[in-house]
Amino acid sequence: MTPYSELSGKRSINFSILLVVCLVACVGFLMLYYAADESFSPWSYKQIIRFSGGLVLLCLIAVVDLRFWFSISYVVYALCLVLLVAVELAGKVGMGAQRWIDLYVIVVQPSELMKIALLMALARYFHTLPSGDIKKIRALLAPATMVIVPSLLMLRQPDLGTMLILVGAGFSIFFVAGMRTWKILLLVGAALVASPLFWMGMHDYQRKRILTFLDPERDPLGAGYHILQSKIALGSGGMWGKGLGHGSQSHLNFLPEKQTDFIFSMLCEETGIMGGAVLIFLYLILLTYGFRVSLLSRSAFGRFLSVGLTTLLFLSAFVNMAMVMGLAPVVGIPLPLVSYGGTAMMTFMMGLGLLMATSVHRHARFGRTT
Amino acid sequence: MSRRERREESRFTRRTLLLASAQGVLMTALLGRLVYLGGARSSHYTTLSQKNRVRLRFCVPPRGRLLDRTGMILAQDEMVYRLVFYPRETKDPVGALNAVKKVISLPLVDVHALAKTKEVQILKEPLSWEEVCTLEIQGPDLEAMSVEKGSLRLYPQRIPFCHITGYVQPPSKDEVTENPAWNLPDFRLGKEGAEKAFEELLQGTPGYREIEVNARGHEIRELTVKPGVQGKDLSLSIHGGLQRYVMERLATFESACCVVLHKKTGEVLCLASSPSYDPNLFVQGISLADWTTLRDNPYAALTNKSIRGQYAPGSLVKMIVALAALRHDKITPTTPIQCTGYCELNGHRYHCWRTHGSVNVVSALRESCDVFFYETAKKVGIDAIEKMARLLGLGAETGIELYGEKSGLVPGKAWKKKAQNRSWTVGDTILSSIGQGASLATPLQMALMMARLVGDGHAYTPTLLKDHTQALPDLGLDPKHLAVIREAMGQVVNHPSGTSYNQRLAIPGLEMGGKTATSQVRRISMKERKTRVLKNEEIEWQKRDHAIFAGYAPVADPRFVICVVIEHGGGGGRVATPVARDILTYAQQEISL
Repeated sequence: MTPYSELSGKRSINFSILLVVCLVACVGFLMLYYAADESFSPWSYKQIIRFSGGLVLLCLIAVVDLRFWFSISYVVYALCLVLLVAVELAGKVGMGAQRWIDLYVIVVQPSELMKIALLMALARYFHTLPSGDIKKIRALLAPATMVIVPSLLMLRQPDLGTMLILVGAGFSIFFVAGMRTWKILLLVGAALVASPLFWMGMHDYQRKRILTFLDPERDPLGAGYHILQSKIALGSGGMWGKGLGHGSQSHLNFLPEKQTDFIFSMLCEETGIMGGAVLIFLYLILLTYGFRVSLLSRSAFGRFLSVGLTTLLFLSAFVNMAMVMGLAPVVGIPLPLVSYGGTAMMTFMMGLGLLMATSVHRHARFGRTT
Repeated sequence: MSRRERREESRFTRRTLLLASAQGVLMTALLGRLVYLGGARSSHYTTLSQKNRVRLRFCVPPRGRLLDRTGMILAQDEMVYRLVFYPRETKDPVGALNAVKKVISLPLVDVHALAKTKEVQILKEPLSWEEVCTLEIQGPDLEAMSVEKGSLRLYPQRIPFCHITGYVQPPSKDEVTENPAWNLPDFRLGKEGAEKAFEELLQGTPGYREIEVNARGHEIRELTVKPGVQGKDLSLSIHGGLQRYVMERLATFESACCVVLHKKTGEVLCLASSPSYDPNLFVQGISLADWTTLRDNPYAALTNKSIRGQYAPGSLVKMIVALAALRHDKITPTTPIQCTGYCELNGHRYHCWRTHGSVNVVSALRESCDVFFYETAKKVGIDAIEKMARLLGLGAETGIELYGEKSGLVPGKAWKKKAQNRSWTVGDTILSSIGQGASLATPLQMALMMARLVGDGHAYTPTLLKDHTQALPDLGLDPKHLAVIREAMGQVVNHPSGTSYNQRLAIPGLEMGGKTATSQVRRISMKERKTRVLKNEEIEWQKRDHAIFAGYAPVADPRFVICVVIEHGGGGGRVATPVARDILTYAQQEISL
């Protein structure tokens, strides 16, 4: 690996962005603290520990030369694929869905890791694709397979939400890599045609969630309960909220899974529109930063990877918030950096680490092969 | 950098910016949605969240007490603890019921059957103090369960007063209204007696508790309690001591009833019907065994005979005939009529119980001569008699507050046309003149009639409420005529030749007046008359005559009016009069009115 720093001077981690990341995480700590009735246990302290670990990981990833990450992209992807298959074979069943695998040390959710791995693999693929080959359909077969294989595995688990986000983030790389517009339209058309098949392959609870999403008041005590209660929490918060720890919806358990998927509802119930807007604003800063990184990156790998990671962050945050606001079906997507959960936290810290690595090493130039 | 690479790079920039702006727009849209939910729709969702958090639990207010006129408690609510199950507040009723079964022993309940109901259920009542404590400790883990204070209706005076108090029971399915309290498990509705008659006054206004619950329906805390308005205490006109005394006195007979009215006001002092039952049996739902026993009681324990028993008024009608005759100038107080032992009409003989010789209205009443009234009735005509009977309170409900009062029957031309589609005959008039035939009256009606006969010409409506003021319309009767009747009724008991002289009330100043009646249950056949009319003792109980005495005391200035009916007691004079005498003695000595 040839050093590149002599060309552009020493680059370091963007601390103001790190501060934004910390702020977002702090929103999470605060809400988890109040979700547990002003107690650090059982959620908040664990989340702080994980975030601290994640922060170290982020920095470590950020300072490692981007070319290293480039070189191990396929290996990481292959490893994650193996894990996904392992889940299929020996997964632990939780909440009616096989999502976790017990590695004896930590419980891993391979689908979470796969998000990063896929983006790395795709970025590497399009980086190495000879200029102009993007026009050829043949050149799209390999990356399409890279997306489809883990997607199908996730669908079997079933983890519809993660799968859609995976496909969405992967597709963003296809898009910025220069996939022809008519092919994109064709793909969208094909997806629409395939959707009835998709419907038939879904679990009952997934279908129910989609039906409920379309009409939440259909069954306010059944499947529509979560959406309705969440909207009540959001709506009753008003401008400034009911005050931290005073959200009746969350504290009286009307809000389901308030510490994970529905944490945004709790935030808005207790801190109002202002609290929610602050968090959305923080996300917007991170997204802006992500796109800025991609535009400034000299390497194609860096550009694609940062677009993919930013889109991943966007999709996760957007789908979660849209879900709790009743704009999307309940698909079980955690709110990035805020929701309680180890694997998701690690995924986003790793993702942000890679984003920062791209930023730190944005002047790195490397060829189509290593 | 090649041209192609440059083109690719600019396409990348273009598309990245497009993607970035799309994401920015979508995030802003979320912000917009947030403002919509928390701003524009805020009040809507605030209301919903309030509804979510707070549940209303209605509570039945304490029912008003029933007191007698001296302040004796006839019915009151007693505080008890109960375990209440709210099936709508759990998704797993079977689990909830099984959970509570592990904590306290429940009476034999079919968990699965109970789990299917949606109605609020009382699982156990009353709870012992230990059970209350156990449940309170386990409370947070028990779903859709609630230990609640409640009240149980208690009738401390029990059996002697049951026909007055009646009893309460949970409302039946078809009675349930929109009143939220009615659906509560401890809501009780008056089903009989004063409990039913004064339901609205006794019921009060339901209160409620606002409790904070979590999504599983667990009660977290009580927010506010609005206790509701207690039902009104009611002082009844009943005199508890008299009622108790009368019930004891009547208990010597198989089946009897008695009404005592306060003459001046129409207040009911005693409303006794024997045999009776314990109203406490009904409050928590009567057992099948108890119900069967009561229902099959041959002496109609469940029936308040003083308002629902209908008897031929017999000789009591004679006063009506006499008054009608006096009113229409068909007789004067001294007009004599010869009693030859019978009256013949169209070859048919109408008998008197003995040959009286020359009688006038006073002596005819005193000695209960039938022939005098046969002849007088023929002169007066049925229309005038019927009108007078109705004027004195027969043939229509008296208007006492109790439900299920019978109206009796005053026969007349219209009635016969309707009931039998036949024309009225003079023979019918003759039979009616001594209260046989189709005539029927309840003991309360007979007492009311007596009150009007010895009153000052005003129409009392009997009432169960103490100090109940009522309008007293004038009956339009001549006081002189009433005085004649009263004089005659005084002689019935106090004149040596009066039919009830032997049963007179001999205490000076307390003397009573009145009239006996024998209410024929069976028809005496011609064959029997030719040989010998069977004595009551010789025939089975159900076929014996009813013994009736309607009277008042003291004769000089009546305060109390009474009607005693001994069902199948035989001749009225011998059986019913001593009972009335004892009761009137007690009333005059014990009650100051």
